[in-house]
Amino acid sequence: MEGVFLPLLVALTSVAAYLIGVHLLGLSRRGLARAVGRTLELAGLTVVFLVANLAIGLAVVLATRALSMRFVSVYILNDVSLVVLSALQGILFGWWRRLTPAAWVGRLPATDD
Amino acid sequence: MSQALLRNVGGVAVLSFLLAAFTPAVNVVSYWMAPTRRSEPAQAIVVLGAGGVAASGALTDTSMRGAMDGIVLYQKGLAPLVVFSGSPEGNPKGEAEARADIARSCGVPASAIVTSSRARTTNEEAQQIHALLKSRAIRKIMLVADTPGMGRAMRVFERAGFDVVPAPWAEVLDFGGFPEDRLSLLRQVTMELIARVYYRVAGYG
Repeated sequence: MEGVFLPLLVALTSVAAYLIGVHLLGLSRRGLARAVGRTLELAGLTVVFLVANLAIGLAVVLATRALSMRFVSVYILNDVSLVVLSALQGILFGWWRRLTPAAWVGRLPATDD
Repeated sequence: MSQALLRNVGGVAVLSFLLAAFTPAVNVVSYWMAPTRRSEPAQAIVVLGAGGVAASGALTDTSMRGAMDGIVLYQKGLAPLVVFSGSPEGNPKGEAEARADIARSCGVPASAIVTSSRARTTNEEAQQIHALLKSRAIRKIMLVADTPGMGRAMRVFERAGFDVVPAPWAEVLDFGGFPEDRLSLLRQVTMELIARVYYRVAGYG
């Protein structure tokens, strides 16, 4: 029971939000599908930033060890705050990209909303 | 990068997160990464550095757990000597010395304790501990390390010239844990996989 408590809790509030959205706020079901797509895009951007941060961070740590007498542990990268910061980078970049469509004209397929 | 590719990457990331947090998948991967070799008595117990010392001078939880594992194994009679390794950073003393203090207060005689406090990586630990134990003609050691890192550590110490057996509880498959614990284990496993690639590329083992 303990193992499924959090997923059940989130499922419950998600269903409640869906019902409120559809019946009280008049949101469309098609809009929800598009929102899922956008959310996955932001998650994808988060992964891109996380991989970039880890790769560049690892290179900097190894270069610092090689080029100076100073020892820096690779475990400095093993921190949950890097995931949160990467998520913020991904969300910010995603919204920047969305709010300045002119920069993407001719380079990406048209958006679906 | 196209929207479709980003969505696919995001979908895989979300799915991976759900699998890692809410199923025992990471526990199984961690268990799979541990060596299958059986544990048996050795000439020395070697407790690898892990976690270091906090700013207050106290051992971190991870380091304390490793120290206690070494002390318990010694008290069970699995080896007549225990080697505490640890990062040289620490105030007023380093990790290895702080661990040795705890072992002495738990009744381990000072003559049965050796410290190695200058190594900063697993490879350096293997080299320095080999230099320390060579004069005592010690070849067979029991390693105390975290489960994901045990396989790499064993290879590095074998490369340094030791016969290595893992600490007995490295082989336990644990399906339990809260999502946060599993995500923490996921980070540990990911870092260990990166370390394995690095150690292979660098030729350490």
